[in-house]
Amino acid sequence: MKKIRNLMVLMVMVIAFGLVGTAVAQTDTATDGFNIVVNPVAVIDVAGTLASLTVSAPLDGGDEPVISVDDDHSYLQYTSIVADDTFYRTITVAPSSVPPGLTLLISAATPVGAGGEGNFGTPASPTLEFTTLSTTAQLLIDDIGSCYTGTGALDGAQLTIGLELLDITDLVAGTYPITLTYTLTEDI
Amino acid sequence: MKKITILVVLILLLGYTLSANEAWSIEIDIGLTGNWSETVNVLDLAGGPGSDLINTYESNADQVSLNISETTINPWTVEIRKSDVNWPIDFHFWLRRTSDGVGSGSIADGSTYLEITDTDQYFFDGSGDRTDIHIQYQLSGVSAATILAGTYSITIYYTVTEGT
Repeated sequence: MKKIRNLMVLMVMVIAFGLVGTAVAQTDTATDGFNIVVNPVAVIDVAGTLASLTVSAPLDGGDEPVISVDDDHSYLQYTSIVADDTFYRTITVAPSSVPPGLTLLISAATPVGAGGEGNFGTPASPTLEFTTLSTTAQLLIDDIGSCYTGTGALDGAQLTIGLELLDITDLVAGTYPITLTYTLTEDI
Repeated sequence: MKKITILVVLILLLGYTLSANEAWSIEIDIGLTGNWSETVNVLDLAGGPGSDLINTYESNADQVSLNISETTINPWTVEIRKSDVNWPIDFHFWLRRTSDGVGSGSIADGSTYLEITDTDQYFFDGSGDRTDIHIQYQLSGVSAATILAGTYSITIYYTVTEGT
């Protein structure tokens, strides 16, 4: 009788252990994978007031015509996202025309406004010069990486636009509207 | 004596069989439906040329649904972590629970955005089977000043563990 009782106890213990042995903490994992795609971006705009330059009569006859001071009230504002650290963009500028007898001068400064951040690029030096016979686009800012200049009144690359007397014999009085085209493009 | 020995062996064999039989073990299950992808482009500029990108992107509130099944009477917890490829250092990824799902048990925590890291961390817990637990994702730290164009991959791991 005692042996049967002991065997019963043993059987209960074994069965309990067998069941408990299965009751360990269970765990499972599910995964969710996806992509964030960032596309290249290259957009540019000119902010500020239109440049207005004049060539007027000197105070004394026999002196050179007086050219107004350079205009520096406009800014290039741009956003660029490049593909890698070795890929850069450039900004070129080209005038639609240049009045005869004059040289059009254009330069840009590095953006310093508080509204921007990133790799703005390097302005060309010296000042770009365009004449009636030479209106081909020239490099204005080089090595632009990922950046944004900001859109505030003083944000962006400040432009300085001026005139220089080239040949007075070619000067003809009149109004000469000029369109400056700025192009943000790959640095090939 | 011989009969007792045979009986003891049979009892021990019964115990081993019980512990090894998968039919007796209950394995909790977590499943997931839905997916998110995001494309950042020029349309995401905050204000035109010269402006930065929008910093934060959010999925739909029910972008992903979790289902937890094969539970027992024991409570369970869900932990999350991530792994990523080429993940920009300025990117931060967050998630939150936007619904309680459907089930007769309970669910708690996880309704406030939690930033996912590379190590497991507690997300929410509950009890009983539960379906359609909605999850919302959020990506922050996007800026034109610090980012390069490309594809950035991330995997989120949801691990449910049931207590004993």
